Amino acid sequence: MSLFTSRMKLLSAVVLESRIDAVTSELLRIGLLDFVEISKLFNTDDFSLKSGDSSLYSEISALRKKLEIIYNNAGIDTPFREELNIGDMTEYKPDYSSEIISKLNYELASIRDKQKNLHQEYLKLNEISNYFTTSGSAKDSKFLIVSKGHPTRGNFSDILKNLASIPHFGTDIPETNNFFIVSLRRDQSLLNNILDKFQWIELDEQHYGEEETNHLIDKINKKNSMLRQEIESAGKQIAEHIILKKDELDSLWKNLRLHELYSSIQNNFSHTVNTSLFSGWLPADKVLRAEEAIRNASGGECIIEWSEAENFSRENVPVEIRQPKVFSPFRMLVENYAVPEYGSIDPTPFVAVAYMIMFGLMFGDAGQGLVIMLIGILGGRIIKKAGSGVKNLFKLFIFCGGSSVAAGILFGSYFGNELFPAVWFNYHSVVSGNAEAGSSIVDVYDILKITIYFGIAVIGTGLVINWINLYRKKDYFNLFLDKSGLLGGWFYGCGVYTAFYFVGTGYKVLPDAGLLTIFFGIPVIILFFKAPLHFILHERDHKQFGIFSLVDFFMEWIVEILEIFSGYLANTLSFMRVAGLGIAHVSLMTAFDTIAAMTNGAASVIILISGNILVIALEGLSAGIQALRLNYYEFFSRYFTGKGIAYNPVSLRNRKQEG
Amino acid sequence: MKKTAVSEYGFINAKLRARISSMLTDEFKTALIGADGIEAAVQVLSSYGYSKASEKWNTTGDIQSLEFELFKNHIANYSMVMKNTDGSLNGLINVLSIKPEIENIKSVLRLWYGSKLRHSPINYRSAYIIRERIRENIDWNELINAVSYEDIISVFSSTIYSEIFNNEAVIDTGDSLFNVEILLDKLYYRMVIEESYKLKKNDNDTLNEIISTEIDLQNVSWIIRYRHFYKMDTSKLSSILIPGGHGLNIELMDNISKEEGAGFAPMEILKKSYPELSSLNISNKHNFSAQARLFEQLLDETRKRKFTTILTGYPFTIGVVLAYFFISERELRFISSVINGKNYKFSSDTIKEMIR
Repeated sequence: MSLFTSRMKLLSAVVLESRIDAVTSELLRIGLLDFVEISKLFNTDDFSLKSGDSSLYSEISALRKKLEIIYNNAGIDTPFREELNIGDMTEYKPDYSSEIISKLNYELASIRDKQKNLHQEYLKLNEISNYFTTSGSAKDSKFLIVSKGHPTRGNFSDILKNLASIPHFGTDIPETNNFFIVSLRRDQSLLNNILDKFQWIELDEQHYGEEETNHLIDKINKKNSMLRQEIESAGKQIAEHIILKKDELDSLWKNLRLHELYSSIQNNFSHTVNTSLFSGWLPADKVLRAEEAIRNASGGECIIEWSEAENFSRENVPVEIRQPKVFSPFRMLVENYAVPEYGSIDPTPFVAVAYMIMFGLMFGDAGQGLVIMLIGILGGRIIKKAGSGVKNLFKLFIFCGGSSVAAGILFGSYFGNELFPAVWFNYHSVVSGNAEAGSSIVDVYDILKITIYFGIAVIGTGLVINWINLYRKKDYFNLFLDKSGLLGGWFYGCGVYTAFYFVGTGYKVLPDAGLLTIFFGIPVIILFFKAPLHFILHERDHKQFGIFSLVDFFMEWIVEILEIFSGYLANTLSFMRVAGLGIAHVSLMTAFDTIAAMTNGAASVIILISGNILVIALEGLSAGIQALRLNYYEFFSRYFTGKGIAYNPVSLRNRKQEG
Repeated sequence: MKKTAVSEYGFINAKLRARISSMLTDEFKTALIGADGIEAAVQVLSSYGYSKASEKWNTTGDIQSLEFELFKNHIANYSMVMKNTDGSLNGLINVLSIKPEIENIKSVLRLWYGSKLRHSPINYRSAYIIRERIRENIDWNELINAVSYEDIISVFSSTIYSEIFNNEAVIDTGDSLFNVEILLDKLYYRMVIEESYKLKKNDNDTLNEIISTEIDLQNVSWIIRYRHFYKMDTSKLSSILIPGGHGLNIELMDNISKEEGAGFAPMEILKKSYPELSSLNISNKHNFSAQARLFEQLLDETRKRKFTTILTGYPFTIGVVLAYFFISERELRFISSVINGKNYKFSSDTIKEMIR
């Protein structure tokens, strides 16, 4: 585990063109390099370098995506990245690959077409069936006409073929030579024409028996359900057809993916007549492995140069964060905000601690915490196929639940009841105004005070992290004069002291004038020189000094003073929400307890259970969101620039490159 | 107690704004247009929240079923907004819901017309007609199964459309459904304008601004169709124009007909109402088709811009509701066009050109 982002080094290498394939394979196998185009690093105008051809990569990538659409159609996954092996890579045959995909797509399109035709047949019959259902019988429906009779020319199946363009249903009548044709009155003229063509003999209406009608309805229903089954089966056929070819598709997908990665590496190569040049970032502790791999693959015929990250702008150096796996849910929270700047402190462990304390303070109940923990544990086990985001979310549940359990033990709260005495203070008693004798916390103001102290600690930690980051960055100007620098910290520390002194005297007395001058007067004057100093150090080469510059300096000074005072005050008081949510949690539980006490027996239990479910869902969500908000705005705003770019090596296991 | 703008629009506009933010995003449009084939396009729909529509495709393989699902969803939007509003706003939404109802009526009439007068049976296509009540109490089964024109008159007898259908000339046997479609559209706009008087002044202004542009757009489209392609007489053309637009009205059309010799240039008149279009150089009055199409595009852009202004301005007005229906309709048309394009194996560039 490292407190800072990993140290990175830039590799630049020249290999013989004849060795390029071996080197590419080796680079893909080790999967360490986050490539950078040479032209972006060095001025290459003086050399006649040819860039890599990206058309092959685009072609392979497009084929892989086409293949993945087929996988999605069957609801199956592509092979695991772990199954990719550079040794399995065979020759890329574009025609062969396209042919497999096109052939399969054609076959699937035929099934779709069949499915569509069946569906349209179903729609036709369904219209007839619906009118049957709404009217009770075909005879009674004003939209249907039923013909009973037989053709004297041609046969019945030919009549049905001729009726294909209109909704109809035809069937024989058992033990007779007659047939039924049900169709829609709106199509009567067409029907009559066809029946005339076949010299249809229509029987009288009194020949309709109940038995015959039931037979007809039965047949329509059977045909209807048969069509539904056939449509469903056509849908399944698509998946089955794909699954049947899964091995072939898997092997094609793997080869395409390997070639895609392979060509993505070669895209980053620049070429002279006989050599290839490439460059990429990798963690400093992997340097030897990478160098050995390139030397071996090139038979030693290569030149490798290493550059330190310090020689480049930090914003261009990719960032690798190494934290134990246990921190993965908190890393997700950090990365959801932004990637830390290269060389800075990785905020993940700090976020983990701050988030859990905040959640515990807002949702301190051992019983409900245990439920959240169980949701996290069971969720992770049940939804095994979930992506890393969902998995991390369940892990976060486990952490939050754990934090609630710990806080619940401290506050003596178990599903809103004091099953065991509080280790620290009884939150419920304090909120309801019945604090236990001898408790250090007696009312809600004391709870607010705890959260203010906690807020000061969080902001203070943020400031210290910022100072360390700025020192490492050698940004001394901001280290001393920024509002989150040493001067800002001085303001904040003195502000906190002054506020507590003032409150301590019953809101009557401020520290003496001399002290206030040292606390605020002198720093305010120092701050006045910030803008001019910045102009002299960083702007005078490209900006002209004039009368308006003085106005700018003055305005910047005023705005910065306002920002410092209002910003720190707002940031600190913002932590009172932690107490607010905690008090709301206790109040809600008390309310449900009171309602439950008004009833008895099962009703009381139901109220308590539903109350707990509601509180877990509602308050749990609120506490989670508020803890995140406090980290993002109050904590991160002190030090987190978020200017980093993630380290994204071309590797067999990396999902990020699958656009 | 009189409702304030905040209490009237606070909830519904927040809800609609949230929905608008995820409708027709650039990311979605690019992904759908760029999808490699119909199957890929349907997968894009599924991943952008149109799972019901994509499910329809997966279970039927029928693109019309997918489109029908989208249309049902579009109509459900009106019901949803109506449930969350009351008073004059609710009344207006009720009138606005005439628009999809008219679309449904037109679809049935086209099927009926094709079946009766062109001898092309309705076949399975009646399944893509909404049969539930939209606004008026219309027996859709009766309508789709109408054997004669009298049956149609009877279906509409107790609805707002009765007057239109009572006049048999609306179904022009020799030509098309042209008359009836125009009368239905005119009825819709007339009712919207009448309903707008019941709104507060601000809302009335916003609605009129939007509706006038829509009317102009519709009129320009008819002028292109009937004047340029079918050489319709100017006086007849002026009679079909929808009253209420900004620039093209019946009086102006009459004047234009008197100046026919100088060239037929209704677009010049329209420019007066849309100063932002006046920079256009339309010197060739005889290249009518090109100038009209350009105007059609620009008016549409103007309308889009108006909605953008609404969405970035004061949030408690009727504008957000109108923008929502506008985007919902656009979304429906966009998805239908792209999906059909994909089904016909058009390239992404061709589809882009088609939907421009």
